[in-house]
Amino acid sequence: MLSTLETMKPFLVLSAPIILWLIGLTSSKAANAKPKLMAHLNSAGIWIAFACATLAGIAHLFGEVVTVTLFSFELPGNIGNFTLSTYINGSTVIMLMLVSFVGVVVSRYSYNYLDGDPNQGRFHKWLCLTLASILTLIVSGNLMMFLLAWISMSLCLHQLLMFYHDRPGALVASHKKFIASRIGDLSLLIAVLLIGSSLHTLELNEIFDIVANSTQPLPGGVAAAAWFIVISAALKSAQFPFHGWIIQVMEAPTPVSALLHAGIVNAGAFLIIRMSPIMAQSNMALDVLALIGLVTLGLASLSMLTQTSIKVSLAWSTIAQMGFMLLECGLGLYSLAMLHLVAHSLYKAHAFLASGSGVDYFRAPAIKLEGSTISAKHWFGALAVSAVISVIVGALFGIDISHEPALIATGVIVAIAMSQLIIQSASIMETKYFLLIALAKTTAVCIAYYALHIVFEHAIADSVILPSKTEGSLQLVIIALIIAYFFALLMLQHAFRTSKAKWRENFYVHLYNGLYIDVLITRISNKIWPAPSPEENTSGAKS
Amino acid sequence: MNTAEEKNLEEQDMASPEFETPIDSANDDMQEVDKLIDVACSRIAPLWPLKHFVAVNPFFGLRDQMFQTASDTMARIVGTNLYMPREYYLEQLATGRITRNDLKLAIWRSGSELDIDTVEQTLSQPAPQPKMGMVPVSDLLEQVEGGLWKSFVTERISLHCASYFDLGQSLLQMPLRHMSLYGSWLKTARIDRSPAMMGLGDFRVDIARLPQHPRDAIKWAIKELSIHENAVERYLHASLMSICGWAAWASYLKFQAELKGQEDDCIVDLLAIRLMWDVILYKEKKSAALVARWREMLTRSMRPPSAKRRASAEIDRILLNAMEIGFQRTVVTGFNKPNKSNKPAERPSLQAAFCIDVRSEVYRRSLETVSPNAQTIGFAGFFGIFIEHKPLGSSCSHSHVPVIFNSAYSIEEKVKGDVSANDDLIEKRRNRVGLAKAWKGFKLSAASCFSFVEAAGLVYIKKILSDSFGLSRPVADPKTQGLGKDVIDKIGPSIVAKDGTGIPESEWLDNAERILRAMSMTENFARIVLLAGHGSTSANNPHATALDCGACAGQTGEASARVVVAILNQPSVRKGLKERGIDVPEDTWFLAGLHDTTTDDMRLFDTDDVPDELSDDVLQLRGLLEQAADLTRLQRSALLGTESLPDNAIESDVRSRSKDWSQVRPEWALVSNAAFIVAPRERTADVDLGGRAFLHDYCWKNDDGFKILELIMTAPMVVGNWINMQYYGSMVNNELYGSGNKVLHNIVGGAIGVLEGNGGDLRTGLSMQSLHDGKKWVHEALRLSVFIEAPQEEIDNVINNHELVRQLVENRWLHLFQIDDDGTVYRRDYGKNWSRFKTAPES
Repeated sequence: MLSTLETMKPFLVLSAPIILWLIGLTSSKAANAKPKLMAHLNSAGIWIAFACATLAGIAHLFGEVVTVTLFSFELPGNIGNFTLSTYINGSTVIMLMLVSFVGVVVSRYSYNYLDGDPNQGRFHKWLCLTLASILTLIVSGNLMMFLLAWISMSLCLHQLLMFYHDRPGALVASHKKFIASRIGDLSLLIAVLLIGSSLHTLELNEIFDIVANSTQPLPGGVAAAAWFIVISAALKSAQFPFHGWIIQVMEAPTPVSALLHAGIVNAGAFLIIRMSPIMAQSNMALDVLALIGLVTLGLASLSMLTQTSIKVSLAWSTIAQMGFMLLECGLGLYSLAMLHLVAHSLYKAHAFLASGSGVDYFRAPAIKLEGSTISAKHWFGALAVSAVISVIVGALFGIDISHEPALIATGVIVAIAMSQLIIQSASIMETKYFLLIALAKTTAVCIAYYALHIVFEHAIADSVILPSKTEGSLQLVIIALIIAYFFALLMLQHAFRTSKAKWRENFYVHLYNGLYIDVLITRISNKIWPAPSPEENTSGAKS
Repeated sequence: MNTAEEKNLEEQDMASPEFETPIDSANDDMQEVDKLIDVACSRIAPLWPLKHFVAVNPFFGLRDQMFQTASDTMARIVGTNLYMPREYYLEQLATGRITRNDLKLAIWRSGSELDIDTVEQTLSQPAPQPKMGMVPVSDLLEQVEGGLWKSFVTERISLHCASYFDLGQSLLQMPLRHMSLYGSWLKTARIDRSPAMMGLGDFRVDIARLPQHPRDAIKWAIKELSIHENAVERYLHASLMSICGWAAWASYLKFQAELKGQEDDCIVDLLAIRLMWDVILYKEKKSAALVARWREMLTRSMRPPSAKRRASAEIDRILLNAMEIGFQRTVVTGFNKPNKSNKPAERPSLQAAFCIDVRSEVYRRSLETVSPNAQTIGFAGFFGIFIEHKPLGSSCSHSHVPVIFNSAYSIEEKVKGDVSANDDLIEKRRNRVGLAKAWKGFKLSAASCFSFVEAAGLVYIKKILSDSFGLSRPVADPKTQGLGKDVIDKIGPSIVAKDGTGIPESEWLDNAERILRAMSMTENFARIVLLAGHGSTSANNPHATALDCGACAGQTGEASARVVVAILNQPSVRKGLKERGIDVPEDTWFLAGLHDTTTDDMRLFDTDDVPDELSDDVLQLRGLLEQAADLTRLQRSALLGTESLPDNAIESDVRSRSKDWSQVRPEWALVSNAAFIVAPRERTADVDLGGRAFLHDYCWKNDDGFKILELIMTAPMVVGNWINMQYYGSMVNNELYGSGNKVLHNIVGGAIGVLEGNGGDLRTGLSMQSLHDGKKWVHEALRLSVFIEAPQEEIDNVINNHELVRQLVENRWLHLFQIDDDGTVYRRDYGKNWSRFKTAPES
């Protein structure tokens, strides 16, 4: 039984995108004529894709890394072949299950949500094609195929973001996104060509093997490619200062946001993980990636706290989370990045789909709570308790920091987060009973964190080549920076809420407006590609 | 304001040479401008927050103008009038919804001299509309030099308002909220670099030179922008309309303050901010083209309507009237004549009082069908008790009375009977809510949100699945948050007076008598008298409270019903009532219920208090209510598109709607409302009003001094007009008076309102999904037709004594009809005379 499943694995993995491509090829007109049928088809297709992904996932638990090639032709310039192939490892099946699951939820949601919209059929068509592109990207075994799926994903998404193309706001934002995406595409193309011309193959499994087995340094082109991959990843994952577009793409129906934030924006980290053999060739590129992530996460997580609308706040949150994920990638902590990617997708898909529930919090009774004002004593206590728990639990799970010093940073981050939970609880209520429960929750958080870390480490062990951060790396400096940075975040947020000082005004205004970069970028992008005025647009829409 | 700030302001004042304080000789002018500012601000109707949303007439501030004048005014200001486009009316003619007869009657009614052929010819041409309204400088600038000025300025103002008014979305709040809206804007604008990034290099310098007081600023702007004195009011009104959502929110704050006898002027601050943007842009970007456009726009928007547009308006009026006449005819011809014996002396098998809400009409008819001896009564859903309700363990209460009133009593929710259990339950609730709150802080804080994701993000697999399949709500039900399932039925509002809460025993009887008399219930009580409030059930719906009871200020109605019932069942009250001439039989029991307008289920409360000898009656009642619910759902299924399904599928469809987080139309709410009928139920008992009528029971012969008539016309009728005009406005111009596309809604300020898409202005009114099913309009844009069974001179008296009612009636914001004892209907025409309602034109 299992062995049949194992042999079926490539078939299962490839069926997932293919079936969606077939459904998505329906013309918009036909789709709009029978919107409910289109929705059902789409839904059926994505359920099948999810089932295939799950079966492949089960098979992979007991199986090996597999490559299957369907079609191949040689590209000029001795850069290897373009093939339609699949490369299946732990990260492939995890991503496949994740995205098809999000797809199932989003398409189910859209069924009623868009009921009555004259373009409901078209919506499902493009939703289907976007999902097909993402799944293709995930299963790609060839870099050229990967690149095409990468571009296709963004172009299909563009159709969803422009779903209401008579809305000027939708146009402004999607033009901006379009420009950023094409720069990212170009950068990835350069990376692919550099890799091809250096290693003379575009097959992921071959690249993996070359790197794993090489004893001497690889050609310089590979290390250069790592830099272009970093650029592509940062653009895809909305990193500072190219984060503006993601805050402004709420001009599309809510499920599009859910899909974008759960299934597309994280492609940056997937790219890095997929390219881990290449990334291992340039510690500097990884360090820069970590720094980009670090800067972004700080800015975005603080800015998120000042936002006044629910979707914009969620978008800033995504930017921050992507920053953190890329920081983990930059530190070579791919398993944590993968955990983060999966967990964040689920969390954010839910958050967007549930964004209409925000009012319920304010309708709930304002229950009287009796917390205490937080003093330095509380802080020391909370931090000490958290540190102790974190060290003990970490040790129990066999975390070895001497091997991977970057884990010191993540350990400290978890401890800081735990102390935040304790402090938060104490500021709400200070009864013994309540604090005990809070402490239990804190411990549970810590255990869950380390346990999941181990699980994911095993799950993607076959998918990555870790960088050897010995030479030419600023890793220790970065680790120290991260620790200081997170302490600063903790204290800043607290100080803002308790202090009365004047710095808060400037701090607030700058953050609330996202440091203004985006205003400038919008202005420039609108000069390059202006959104038509509403009158022009209606005539354009008809054609 | 503290002294440091004052000093700071003084310094800034000295540094503003550009602005000269108005000299004394101009004082009169300035006072005149002050008045105009107040007039312009009073034009903006308030917007209630989403946490207790109620319908508002968006034209309430224009009620002192004739409907047509208001339409012309708005056409000049925003570019569109108050009528539907011609294609809409053409379609109504094509389908026969408007008949030639109706057209003829409408021509006659509107005093037009046109003949029907001319009307038919003209209406096939589109109505001329102004090229554009009275727009701010930013819009003209965008036309002159391109760029995104219009949306940029709206965005800047909207973001500032959102952060200033935020009810709790942000964890880090704007530090300047203790200042005025305008004051805080001056401060943040001096820090904000966004305008500089847009190319307004001197913006921050300009800000430093602006007047410190909003009214001074407005006066200065009027001068700088060379607004002619005749145009000032309209320009100020137009400026507020350009940011109409936040203006409506500011107007709400003013409304609330005034209800409490306080003052709030933040709408003037908002106006000042809008004008300061105009002035700064005008001065910084001054070009010959801009100045020319600006002057041209100002002149054009002050012109009276051209002859062509006046003629077109006449056609619009006729069409609207024709559609209204068609509807009125169906109502009038359905009225019963009074011959039906001399009053049924027989004791009804059941009495059930419902809210006047149009959704009750369908249910009442169903209940009467399944139980022909039952009597139903229509009354405002707060049942005349002026309470605010404090949920168990809560530190603040929600008002449960129509928004134009203040509450008189504070009612606490408590565990019934057992006092010690109360504290225990509060403690448990506090722990649960506290933990949820701490967890939320952990989830969102800057330093912990990442670890939250890694440790707990995977849990969302379960949450996504259970929410997708309607097995859970994304956020705990606000009513029962932190309560165990087993206790929900054990708690309820307590009328016992204690520490300033509850209702003093001495006031029970007065309330009981007043309420029963207002409901015209003074004799012939059934064994069971059900008072049914109403509420809706929907998941993940920002506008959920808009579906709840408007008479209970956007809350569900059970608390009021339970309080009234508790009073009416007191033995001491019964005794007192008897002494005052209202004999409630000993075997009568009052019972509170909640009609769920989404599923049409009826939940009964406190049934364990019902005396044993009535337990069979309650059992029977439950059976009847279930049958009535089935019948009601069947009638509603046509609107939901489920009419072809079997009964149980219709039922499961509405149940899944009520739990579906992706549902944009959980129910059709008050769609197609068009009539308000104040009469005994016998008058309407045999007509299917299709859920389009507010039904208020009223028997004028029992109304000494016509105090109840006065109350009905000044309160429920006004509320009816608010709801009706909310639908009307949202339909004729959804862009301005509606909230657009629900799938793009983005909640702002925690529970203030929604933005559509990325940002822009706050949105008011109803979404398109509440009016249109994707293929056709489900609502009909009609003004409310009010029918009152009472003597004409008494109706006239109320009109003459209440300016608000007079304005609504005589300025044609609603139609008023009188029903006489024979069931004949008379219309109050524009000459204030009553003339018989015609169903066919005279040849």
